[in-house]
Amino acid sequence: MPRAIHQLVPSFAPRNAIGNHVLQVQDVIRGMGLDSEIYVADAWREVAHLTRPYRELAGGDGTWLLYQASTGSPLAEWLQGRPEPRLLNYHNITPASLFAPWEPHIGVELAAGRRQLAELAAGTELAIAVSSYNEGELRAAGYRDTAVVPILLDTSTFDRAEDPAAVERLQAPGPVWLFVGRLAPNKAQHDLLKALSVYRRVYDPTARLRLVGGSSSHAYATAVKTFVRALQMEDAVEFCGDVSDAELAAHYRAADVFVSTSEHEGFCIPLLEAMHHRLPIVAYGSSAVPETLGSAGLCLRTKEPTRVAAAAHRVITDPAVRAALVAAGTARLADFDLDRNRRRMADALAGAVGA
Amino acid sequence: MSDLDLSQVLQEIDDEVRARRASGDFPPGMERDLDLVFARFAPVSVNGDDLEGLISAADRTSFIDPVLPTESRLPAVSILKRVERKLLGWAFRHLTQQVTAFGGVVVQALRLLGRRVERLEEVSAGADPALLAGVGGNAPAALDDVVVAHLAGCSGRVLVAEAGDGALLRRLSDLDVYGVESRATLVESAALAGLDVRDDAVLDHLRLVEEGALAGMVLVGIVDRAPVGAQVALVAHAARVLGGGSRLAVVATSPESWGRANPIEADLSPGRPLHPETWVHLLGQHGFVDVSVTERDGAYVVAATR
Repeated sequence: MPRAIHQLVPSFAPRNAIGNHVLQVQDVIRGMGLDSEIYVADAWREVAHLTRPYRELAGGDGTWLLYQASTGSPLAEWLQGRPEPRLLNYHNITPASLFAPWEPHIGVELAAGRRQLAELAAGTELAIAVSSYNEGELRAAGYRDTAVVPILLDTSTFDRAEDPAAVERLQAPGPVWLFVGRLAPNKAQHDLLKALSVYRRVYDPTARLRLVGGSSSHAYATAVKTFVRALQMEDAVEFCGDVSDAELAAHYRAADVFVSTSEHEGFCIPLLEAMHHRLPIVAYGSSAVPETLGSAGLCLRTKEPTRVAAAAHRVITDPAVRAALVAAGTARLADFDLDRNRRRMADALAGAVGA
Repeated sequence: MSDLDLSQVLQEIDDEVRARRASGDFPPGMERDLDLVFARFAPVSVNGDDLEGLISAADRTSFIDPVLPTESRLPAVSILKRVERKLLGWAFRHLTQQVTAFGGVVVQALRLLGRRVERLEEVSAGADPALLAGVGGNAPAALDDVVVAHLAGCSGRVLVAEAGDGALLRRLSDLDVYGVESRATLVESAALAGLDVRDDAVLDHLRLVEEGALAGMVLVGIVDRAPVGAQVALVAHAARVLGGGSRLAVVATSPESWGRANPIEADLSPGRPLHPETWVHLLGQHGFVDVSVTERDGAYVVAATR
């Protein structure tokens, strides 16, 4: 009889989608009447009290292990030697090829993550992906028993009070494009800049782009900022960095369109945030983006700057399209209802461990 | 929720892009120029396969600095760091010297490999393309009307690879068409003539095109001269980048007339044209349908639908 499902997490951080998901999963497991602790290789100080070092895991009869796979980690190597039956929850690992030219050491870590993912396939009883796209990758990596349960996300946390000072400061005379995500090669913010350049040249020279999020690559961030200067768009592009929840809400409020040219996403939570804030979306349909977006945005087959610019212009200037996308976004958001997805997670786990 | 037809909106956006390209609002070369500007700031390995540039970058970064930085906003911390550097300096030097030595050996090995690959290319691949300057390079034009008819009505981006002197691009100007050409003089003259031609090798360009992004493609020129492996790779790329219902035309010189029509090019090129039957076979294997062959005046067109 199953007694416990303990989670193993490479890195546990606060105010982070995977961190919140892990806490939700723990709650789901405990709701099934089983013990559940979070064992980590690394945890931020402010949430460390919620976790235990993975080497302290005792295991034993009736214990199952659920590995949260999102990057390369020594924890995955250690896990392969454990006798307990294993489950895996896959959040996607960015292909190393997107990072390696910019940050070789991150490329090595990501490549290791993909290798570890394949090595864990043999002894894993069930692998749960947060999207069908990710499930496809799991199957390609050799996993036989797979399921899809969207990331457990409490969308009510998107309801943050807007920072009034930020709302005031973010008022702009022209249309505002918004993208939320870390500056990283896989997010391809440079392609957004190309599209904005076309937009300003052809449609509206007052348009501006706000990039919200920290940086995952100093080399890429430097190149993107240099690119902005080369395009003479210093006044039109704002690198906002990490912002508070209240500022983020203000950014969504102040923008006219959410535009993504990201090359690789395992799920893409900012799309849901944009839907929640009634911001229409234009996105290049890479990886899991079409699946998360559904019909709640303009999903582009290519990200040629001209096409992205034309799509953004259409959304900004056509009230009917805008209203329809906003309505579709609100409807789409209901598909990620937390209670429903918690039940799906509970069913998947119960089916696997026989609880 | 209203009854918005997203596919209709996307189609209208495609139509607008095409109209603005035709009107000059989106001038030819605008996107290529943006790519080139960003390429100046990206690592060499992001753009193309500049092996020498990459090895030089590896050489530059293989030296590991053993001297720890000691700056700090707090003077006390800075002093602490300096003490730490003094105490542990020998250990860092010992470690970094080994890593630097390893990096140096790897870079030397890469340079050796690079030279061997160059020597291999000299004896196995075709002659330097510069030797073909002014000789041949003209794709068969006798069947342009067949190509134009096959691609008529393509709704979306159409690629002509290689663009050559731009004659076929002009014939297809009713479509949202662009070209790829690796011969610099031809790219320059095409740009001056207002044609949208990217300066790139066909296979390199196709690797960057998104899946299902094109509505039509013409393979011409390259299919007369490329090695067999490259021609097979072209089919695989075409199958990937062409969306459902898209059209493909392969325009080639008949193998029988290739040497007669272009003796110097035939001798100096790494490859030769395939027989039309071979294209029919390859395209069928990759899921193309409605494959037909038209032959005329020592050339042929293989037309197919994805």
